[in-house]
Amino acid sequence: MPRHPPFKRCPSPPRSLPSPSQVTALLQRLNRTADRFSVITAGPIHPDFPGGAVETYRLGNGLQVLLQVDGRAPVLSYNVWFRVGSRNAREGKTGLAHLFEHLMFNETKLLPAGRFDQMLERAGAETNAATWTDWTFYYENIPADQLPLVVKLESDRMRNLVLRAKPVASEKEVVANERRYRVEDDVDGAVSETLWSLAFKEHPYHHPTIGWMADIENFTPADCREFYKTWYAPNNATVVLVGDLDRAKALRLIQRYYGAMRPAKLPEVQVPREPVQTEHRLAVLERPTPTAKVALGFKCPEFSHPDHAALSVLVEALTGGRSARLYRELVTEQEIATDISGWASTFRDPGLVEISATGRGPVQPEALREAIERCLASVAADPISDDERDRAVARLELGFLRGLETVGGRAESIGFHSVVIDDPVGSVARMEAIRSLSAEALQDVARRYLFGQPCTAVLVRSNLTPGAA
Amino acid sequence: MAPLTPVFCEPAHDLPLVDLFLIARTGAQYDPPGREGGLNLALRTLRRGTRTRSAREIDALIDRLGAELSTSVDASSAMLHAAVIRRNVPALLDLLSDLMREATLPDAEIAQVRREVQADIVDGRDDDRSLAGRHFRRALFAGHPYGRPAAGTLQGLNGVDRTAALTAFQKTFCRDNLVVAAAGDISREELEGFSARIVPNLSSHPAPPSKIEAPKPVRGRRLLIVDKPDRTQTQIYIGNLGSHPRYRDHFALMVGNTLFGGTFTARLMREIRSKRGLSYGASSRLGRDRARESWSMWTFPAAADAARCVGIQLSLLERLLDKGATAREVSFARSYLTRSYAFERDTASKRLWQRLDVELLDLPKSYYAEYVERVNAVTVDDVNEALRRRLSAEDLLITVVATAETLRAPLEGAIPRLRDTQVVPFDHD
Repeated sequence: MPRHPPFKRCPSPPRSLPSPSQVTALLQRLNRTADRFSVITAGPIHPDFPGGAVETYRLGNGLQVLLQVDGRAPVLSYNVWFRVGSRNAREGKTGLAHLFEHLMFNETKLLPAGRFDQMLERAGAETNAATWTDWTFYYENIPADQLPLVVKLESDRMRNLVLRAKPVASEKEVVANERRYRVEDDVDGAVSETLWSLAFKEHPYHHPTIGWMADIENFTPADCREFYKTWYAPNNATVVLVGDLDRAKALRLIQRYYGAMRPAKLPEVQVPREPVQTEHRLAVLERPTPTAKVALGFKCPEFSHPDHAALSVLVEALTGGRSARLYRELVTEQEIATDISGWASTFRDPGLVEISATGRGPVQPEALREAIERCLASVAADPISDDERDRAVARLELGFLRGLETVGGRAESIGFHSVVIDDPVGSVARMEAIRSLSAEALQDVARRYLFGQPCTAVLVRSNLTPGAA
Repeated sequence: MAPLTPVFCEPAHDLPLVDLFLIARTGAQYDPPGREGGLNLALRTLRRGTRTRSAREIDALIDRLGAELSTSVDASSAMLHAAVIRRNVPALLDLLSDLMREATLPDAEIAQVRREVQADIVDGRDDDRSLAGRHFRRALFAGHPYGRPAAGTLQGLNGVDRTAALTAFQKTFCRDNLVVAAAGDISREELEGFSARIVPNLSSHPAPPSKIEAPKPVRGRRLLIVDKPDRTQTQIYIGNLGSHPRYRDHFALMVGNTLFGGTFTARLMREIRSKRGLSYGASSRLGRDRARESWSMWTFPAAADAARCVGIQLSLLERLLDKGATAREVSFARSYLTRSYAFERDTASKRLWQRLDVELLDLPKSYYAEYVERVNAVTVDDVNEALRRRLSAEDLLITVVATAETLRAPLEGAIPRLRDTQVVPFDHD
């Protein structure tokens, strides 16, 4: 018997869920003059996603299209996800996926530089992009009546981008500034970069997504052209549309603008396997920071692994909220930290459980690390209770719901889960899995992934001389 | 007579989620000078114990409910915000009633929260952007409530005891100064019932005046360097006073700011980032409150480019005020503001905050109802007149987080007609 009633997916008014025969009739109409690249086929419909059913389609050229019709507000979110990120980086060419994300806002064969943003902003759109280990995605949040414009512009830059030397050079400067902002002059950014590069020796997760500074400086337009040709193809992309849209019109637009693209021969991705870590690893940084910092990393499985949900709940029980063990012990009881955070990486390949703390007052990073490790070790003798489990699950459920409030949030969830675990509505199944976990299951993953396991640690010591500034 | 507490409810039942707000119409403006932070301390200590629950029990309950409880204080308002999963709304309302009516603010908890706030102040020095923003505001609004730190200062907090915190809370969260609001999966009846439970038990102090005096602008070009060692990058805020929503040229100034630094293709971004790659971000913004707020530009170039970047920003502003905005730019900004307006109202929380804005900032009742129409009515002449009336390229505070030893001279060289330079250590309280 579950402790809580099952999660009600969406007690909202009935939405326009198409019947199979309606979809068949629609696709017959759309495919009347289609060729082998533009022909649309329908995949499963997922009826129980918050905000409305998620429909899946695919063009003959391999482009995946995910669609949720939600007419509550006259707005729309349009995402294009590419299955390429820093996981695909090579030694000496790190950061290319991220630099490329910037370059995608430049000139195309049809439009001069800057026109893409101008046209979208004039239409009232917010547009941006993000890159991480396993993906790159672009989004536009737009008034619903502007869908034709965004389909036209997004499809144009997927096949017509122009990469000239001058804008590439300028964008490299911008990215170098971004790196200074996020890493060089940001202690937390430097800690994260050091932790991952120390924990991974062979796997590309060793490299920061933004790239090493020397690599950023050395990219050529030829590197960028090669990258574009290799990865930016319809059969490596997923388009997500969420909001106030007409299904038939949306699919017709997608077919018209993307249907002429040829699929690419995608390279066989052979990501090096990370050797099993058998030893503890340590890096000590000195920075002009007023407080000590500690980050610990334990190897954890990939996001699709059956243990991942339990690890996420365990980390939340240890670090999320004021009643979590580590928070209560280090921040409230001992007063040696100002903040504690934790995360089990949500990547395609095995990653890290990260536990980080910011010190308080004169506490040194070594002492802070010892206190964290003592607290983690205490879980072996004093297992996670049902109440701790319940609190962690409730907090994760709040976060899950928060992520679904806007059309942009839902489009991002659908795109992310589609690209990382091949299940657009995977967030709902994951939430159900989280709710069904017992406290014993949390203890089990704690034993297998944390207790006595090799740990990578980054400590930050202050090199400020009091009163020197 | 029953107090007239305004209740604002924006129901939406699509997700089982509720956001709830208890807002006071006044804020840290009434903290005594030199002992700032009392109201903030009181709000943060509310959850540290009531007559029937310990701090630890409250923390556990909030997490168990799938709730988050946060507090915020600025010069002109103070707020408790709770978010919760629908099924636990009744339990959360019970807890909030308990906190508002029965919080004990024990001495030991006050002392612990004070230490936490002081630790947060020290920790905040790691973030160069917020460091720059904080020093910019303190210098721009020196002597005005907007320039005083609502969270307090390391030294000043030591002078804030339980009595001071309790007094600040009772004077601020009194019956006639409260607004109750919620968005999401909640009904108006439920919210009014909650309001009726808490309001009679609040203090009966008369509501303090919410009026805030107009601040005075900075005169001349002033450079403030927040000196921090080993910076490879700078954080720069340049600005002065901006607008007040009741100004007749407020909408024209909003359009002017949008075309100058409010979008990715605005002048600032185009000249600083797109053409020259000098900074990852470049934007300008108009603050908004009950009194005239700030107007500022923000960039963060590499240390080696900082002087050049400041010089270009000053030239861009001079050019804007001298030559004016073009008809094409004004048309573009109007279009952006009116078409993107759909995203100001696409969730229940956003719709609620439009209503709260009108209530708390004393905006004209028709402010949002007429928003699109008023933006569309702005002409090129309106924009240029407003920019020249409200902004000046000669009266500017230029705040830079940087390593002063290497950058002071280049920065001073990049600022023609600089009146003075002040250098403060980054850990200066």
